Amino acid sequence: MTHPPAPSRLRSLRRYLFGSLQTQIRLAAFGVVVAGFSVASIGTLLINQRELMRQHEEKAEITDRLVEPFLIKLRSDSSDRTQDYIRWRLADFATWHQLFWIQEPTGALLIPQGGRPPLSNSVVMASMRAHQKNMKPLDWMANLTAGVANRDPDASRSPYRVVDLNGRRYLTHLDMTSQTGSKLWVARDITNDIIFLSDLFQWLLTIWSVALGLTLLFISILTRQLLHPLQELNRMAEMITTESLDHAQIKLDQAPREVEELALVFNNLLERLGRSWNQQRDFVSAVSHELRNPLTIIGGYLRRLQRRGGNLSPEQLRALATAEAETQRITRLLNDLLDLSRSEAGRLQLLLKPVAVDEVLLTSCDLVRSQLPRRLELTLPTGDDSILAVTEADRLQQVVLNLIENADKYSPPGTPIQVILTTDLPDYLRITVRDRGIGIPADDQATIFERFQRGSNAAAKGSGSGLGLSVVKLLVDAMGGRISVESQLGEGSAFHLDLPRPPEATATPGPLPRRRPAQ
Amino acid sequence: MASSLPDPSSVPPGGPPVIAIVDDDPRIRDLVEAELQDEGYSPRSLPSAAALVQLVQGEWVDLVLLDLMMPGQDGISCTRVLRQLGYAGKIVIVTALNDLHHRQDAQAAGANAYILKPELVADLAGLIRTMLEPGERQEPQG
Repeated sequence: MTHPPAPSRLRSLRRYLFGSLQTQIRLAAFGVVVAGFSVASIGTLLINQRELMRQHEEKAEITDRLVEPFLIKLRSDSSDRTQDYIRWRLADFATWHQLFWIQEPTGALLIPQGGRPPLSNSVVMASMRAHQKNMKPLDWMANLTAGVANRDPDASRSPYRVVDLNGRRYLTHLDMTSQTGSKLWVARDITNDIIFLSDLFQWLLTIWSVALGLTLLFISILTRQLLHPLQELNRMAEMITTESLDHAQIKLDQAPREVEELALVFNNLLERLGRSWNQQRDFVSAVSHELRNPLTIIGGYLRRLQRRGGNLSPEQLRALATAEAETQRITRLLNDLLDLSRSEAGRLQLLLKPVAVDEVLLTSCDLVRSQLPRRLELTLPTGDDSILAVTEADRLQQVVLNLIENADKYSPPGTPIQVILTTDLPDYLRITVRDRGIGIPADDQATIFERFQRGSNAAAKGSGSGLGLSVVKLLVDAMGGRISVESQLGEGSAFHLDLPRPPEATATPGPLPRRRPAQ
Repeated sequence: MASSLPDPSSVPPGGPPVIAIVDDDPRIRDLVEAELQDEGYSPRSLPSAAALVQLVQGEWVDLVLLDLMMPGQDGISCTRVLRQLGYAGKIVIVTALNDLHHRQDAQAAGANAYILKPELVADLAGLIRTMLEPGERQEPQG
């Protein structure tokens, strides 16, 4: 036998984690919210930084135009007086946040005269050092700022540098190289801007977290509302039994339209199921009635003729006996078919109670003994007390007769069939039906109780529906018993039928149904 | 009401037991009636539950063989009516349908046995002897 491959552990884990619709919706909502707010936050940050840089460059550009004439003048006249004048003018352009200085082609620096604190000479020195060393920006916020300024995420290639001096941040870059070869440098205090951006980021993070929480809460409520009707549908469907099928209807309050449609489909299905259920029941009932009545009449008159027809020849009597036996066989076959049909519909129910098994066996053997072309040996344990098992007498008889008929079918004429009742097993009685027939091939023994299955060597023994043993099996199952087979090819077979004994407390022979053996 | 029904003491001793067969199918009735006559009982053949209710009010009946599925009143509700009237004889529900619910309903209604039709004719004499045995329990047989 081949087994389907076991589902991988990863797959079952995935199924466990994401199998629920609720989890999936939550995860999807979580993903959308995280992605949406991340994009929004980063976008806001970038826009603010770009605006910062735009303002920065705009101011620098105005200064550029104002400084240009001085640079030209410096080329033609680099006297100390001119330099002092330019230093003075540079100090004039400087603001609280911005500082300009000139690097002459010779490398000499023209630093504003009397620069206002906190923009001092030390800022100029630190800036020039940063540019010389190709120093990297200090932290990610400054890094981002410098990167955005150059539209290049790699800050080390940026002409911008951020320097950290006495707890303040300065963004510095080469603003302009004049035709004269002089360079105009600029440094700008961006401490407040970075604080603003940090604050903005923190606020965004806070808003983002709150919004995420609210969204998840909302989604949870929504999914619960959405899935509640489905769970309700589930719960109601579970409560439907074969008994309540007729009037079972699923009713949902305030369900979404989709679920309502599902419930409608489900109700239609239930209705059709109920109808076919009833049809099946009607069928069993009609067949029982239509076939059992005629069989009763035929069997009854055949029996009557044999007993009362005084002037019949032995040959005629034999013919009547055969006809009666066949009628009984059809009756039993009908019982089998009806039980099979009931079982398929899940309606096979037995009235189980302690039954005197020895009496059922006596009756059963008496019923068929005259019809068998062989000896039927019944062995019962010695003793006066009835031997009890929990079963239904009619159905047990049906099972025993099926087993005897089966043994008879596959045995050569003249060989005996033994029916043995033993009480050796704990909790169970064992009825063994043993024959000296053709036996069952070992490969077939496992499937012999399945519907339409016969031993592979059975075809040689003529026709057979392959139903008898499957009916035996389903009846024995319904009795809470066990059936097994031992067989040797060519030697014969033994079917063991184990029936549960009544619990000790009720085992004392009380009022018991007793059937007299047939005459 | 119970006192209005005839009881066994109203029958002259020595007479054959009275057995009613109630079935809407006359062929079954004829067969069973003939068998009952052969066995020496005094049969009453009735086509419906209503006829039976009328009969037991006028005459003591030892045993009723009552068909389960009949047009009009069915065997189980007829059993219920008979027991309510105070009928003390034996009632055997005879049916073509081996159904657990019917079996339980029959027991609850007060029937003494529930038997399938083919089995009825297979061993009618045995069944009647069992049912009319003195001290036979008020319980349907399996």
